[in-house]
This record gives sequence, structure tokens and C-alpha cells, in this order.
Amino acid sequence: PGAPEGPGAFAVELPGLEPGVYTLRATLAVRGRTKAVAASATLAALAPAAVSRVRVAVVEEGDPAAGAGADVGLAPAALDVVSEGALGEEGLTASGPAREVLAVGFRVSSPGAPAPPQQAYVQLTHAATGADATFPALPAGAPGEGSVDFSAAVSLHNATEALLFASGDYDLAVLVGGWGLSEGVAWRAGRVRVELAERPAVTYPLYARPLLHDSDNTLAPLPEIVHAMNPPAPRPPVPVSYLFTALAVAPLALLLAALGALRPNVSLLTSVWGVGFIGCLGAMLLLFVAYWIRVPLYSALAYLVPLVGLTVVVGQRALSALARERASRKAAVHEHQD
Amino acid sequence: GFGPPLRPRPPSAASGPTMARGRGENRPSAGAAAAAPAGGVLRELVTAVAADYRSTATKKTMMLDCFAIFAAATAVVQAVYCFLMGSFPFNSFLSGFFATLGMAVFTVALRLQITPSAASKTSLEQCFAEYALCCLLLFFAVVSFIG
Repeated sequence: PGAPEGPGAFAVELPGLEPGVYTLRATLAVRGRTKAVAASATLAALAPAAVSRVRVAVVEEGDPAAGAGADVGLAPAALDVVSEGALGEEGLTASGPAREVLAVGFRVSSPGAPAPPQQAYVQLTHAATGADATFPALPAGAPGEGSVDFSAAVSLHNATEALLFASGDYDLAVLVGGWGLSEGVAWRAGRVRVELAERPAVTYPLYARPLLHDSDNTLAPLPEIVHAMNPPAPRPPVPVSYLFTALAVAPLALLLAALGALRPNVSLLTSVWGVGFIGCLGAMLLLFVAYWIRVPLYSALAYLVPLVGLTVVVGQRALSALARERASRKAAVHEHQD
Repeated sequence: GFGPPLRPRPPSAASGPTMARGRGENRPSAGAAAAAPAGGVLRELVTAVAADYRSTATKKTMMLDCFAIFAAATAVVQAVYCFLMGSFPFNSFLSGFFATLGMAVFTVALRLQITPSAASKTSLEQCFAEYALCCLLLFFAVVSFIG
């Protein structure tokens, strides 16, 4: 009978319920009604599972034990893994190029479970990178009383791409699950060394794949790219550079000497506008030097535009003054000749 | 644009040996006679050109000539360096070379405009203003490219 647990609610405890599938029928008698109210439901009591009799063997392709659902015990050198992590002590090695198959057999015991386990896999996890791949295991032989034998055969040659061409140590684990089990089981057998073929170098035509294809589709760090830089350009010896610097400056010295010998008339440029015009030209040249050394283009243009306007105004005044001065001197010469 | 054409100069007492001398009087050998007139003619030509230049060229044109020669010489030095030592960095070589070459071209153009016999009657000041503008544009382009 059920105990009341609030208005319109009853609770029934069923201690010691064995694992299995039950049909639950509830009957509720209401005072003042002749007919009771009945309802039924299906109830499943789950059972835990345990993995045992794990056997691991490395066999050739075509061996009777090299097949999912085959009896791994038929392999000549099958190893019994008596406890979790015990496989690494044996130093098992399997090779993909040698077309070897890693055969794993195990038993899942779940007495009384409403349904046998349906999901059984063998998982290989690369110890260095953590990349893993799972391979299905099939029932091997007839099921026993509350237990089922499974076996999986991992053809390393065919699984090379699934294992990302990564050789090295792998952690082998057995994964079991099913709706009749109270919880899944991950049984870690231990470590096995796997040798795989190298990833073949495929050269795709230019732009056949997107440039970011490798980085968008990788599950592990890509190999580092070492760029081949052009060798540095040959440079001349330092004394030669100094010599040609001197040769390039020498014409300037000769120019200054020649201008000094010609004794130019600079009296016309001593006016305020003349000095201002020369100053503006000098400022523009200094701005060009600053633009070359440090100042960005747009900043240089921001300084240059007003400077150009100022130079135009000042230059027009200076050159007009020069023109007037020259015209007045010419007129004075003509009057003197007359 | 270099002033009036050269006129044949009358022989003077300061010139070298002439054909007015009599036969047999200190006549040099045949080979030396062929070389000496050639050298003498070249020397006379250079002397005549220099004298005409000094007489016809103004101080302004002389200064512009000096500046054009300075710019061209600097361009030649850069070209020789590039030919002997390689063009690295190439953009810098192009900038320096075209800066000096461009300055020489602009200076020669200015000189052509300011000679008295020039066909264009643009004023001296306007020519200089255009020259300054061209040079500044050239420098801006060169500095943008020099790297």
C-alpha cells in the first residue's frame, strides 16, 4: 500500500527490487465510488556492468582472430590483461605498414540487466596529443548467462588516417554502454605502441584548396613552417662606401667654390619678403627630410598644405618686388642713356 | 640657346705658326706637322668656345651652368657606384639618380628660358617660380620613393 504524501499523492517504496523490467499497476480506491481507478506503467530496474577477461593480441591481416566478433583467444600470442593499466608492462607494439591488426576481446557481465549491453567500443587515445579514435566491437560467440563477449579488430593500415598518421604510444580503453545498464563503463587496459605510415605529401595545384584549409581542419598543432629567405644582398666594403660618399659630396664642394668665385649679387634677397621666401623653401625641404625619417605621409601633408600656401603668398611678394626693382633699374639705365 | 654663333677669328700675332712663313724656313717634319695642327686646332677651338662663353654668358647663366654640372656629376657618381657595387637598395638608387638628373634637367630648362635670345617672353621671376615648383614636386616624389 502507498503512504499519502500530500494532497492527491501517494508514495510506494519497493526495496530489494531485482534488476529487470516490471509492469507497474497502481490501483486507487476512492471513498464513495464503487469502481477503483487503475493505471499501469513499465518500470526497468537497471543493473551495473563489469568488464573482465580482456585479451589483446597483434595478428596479421587474414588471421582468424583478426576480425570483429572473432575469438581473440585463437591468436597465438594473446595477452590477458588482468587489471586496468596492466597492458603497458607487456610492451605491446603493432605496425600499420606491416598490416598488423590489433585484436581486443573482452567480456561484459551485467547479471539481471533488463537488456544486454549493445554499445561496445575500443578506444585508442594518442598519449602525446590526446587525439582519439573509437572502433566498434561486435559480439563474439553466443551470449552467456548475464554476460556477453565482444571483440574488436583494429586494422592499423586502414585506421592510419583515422589515427591522423600519428605514431607513438596509445592508451587502449574498452567502452561499454546500453540502456539496461545503470551507467557506462570505461575500462582502461593500458598502453600499446603503434607504428603508422607517414602522411603522404600531397601537392595540390595553387588555389585548389583555400589557403586556410589546413589550419581550419586540423585537430593537432600543424608542423612549424621554416621559411626560406632570400640571401642578403652583397654589400661593398665600408671604405668603398666612404669613398663614393666623398665622391658624391665633392661636386657640392666644387659648386660652392665656383659660386664663391662668381660672387653672386645677394643684395636683392635681403628684403623681408626675400628672406621669408627662402625660409619657406628651406622649411619645405626640412619637412621633406622629416617625412623621410619619421613623419607619416598624412601628417606631412597636413603640415605641407599650409606651408605651400604661405610659400606662394610670400614668394609672390618677393618675386614681384624683385621684378619691380629690376624694371626700375632698367628704366634708370635707359634714362641715363637718353 | 648658347648665344650668337661663333665667327671666324682673324689670325693674330699671338697665334701659332701659320702658312705665311716662307719655304725652307724652320719647317717641321711631316709627322709632327700633321699632329701639331690637329692639336693646335683643338686648342684653338676650346679657347674660342671658352672666350665666347665668358663674353656672352651672364652671371645668372654661369651659376645655373655650375649647378647643372654639379647635379649631373652627382648623378654620374651614383650611376658608377650602382654599376660597380650593385643596385641594392634599388629604390634608393632610383630616387637619388632621378633627383639629381631631374634637377639637372630643370636647371637646363630654366637656363634656356632666361637667355636673352629665348623665344618665350616669360619673366625671369615667373621662370624661377616654375622652376622652384617643379623641384619641390620632384623632391616630394623622390622622398616618397626613397624608402
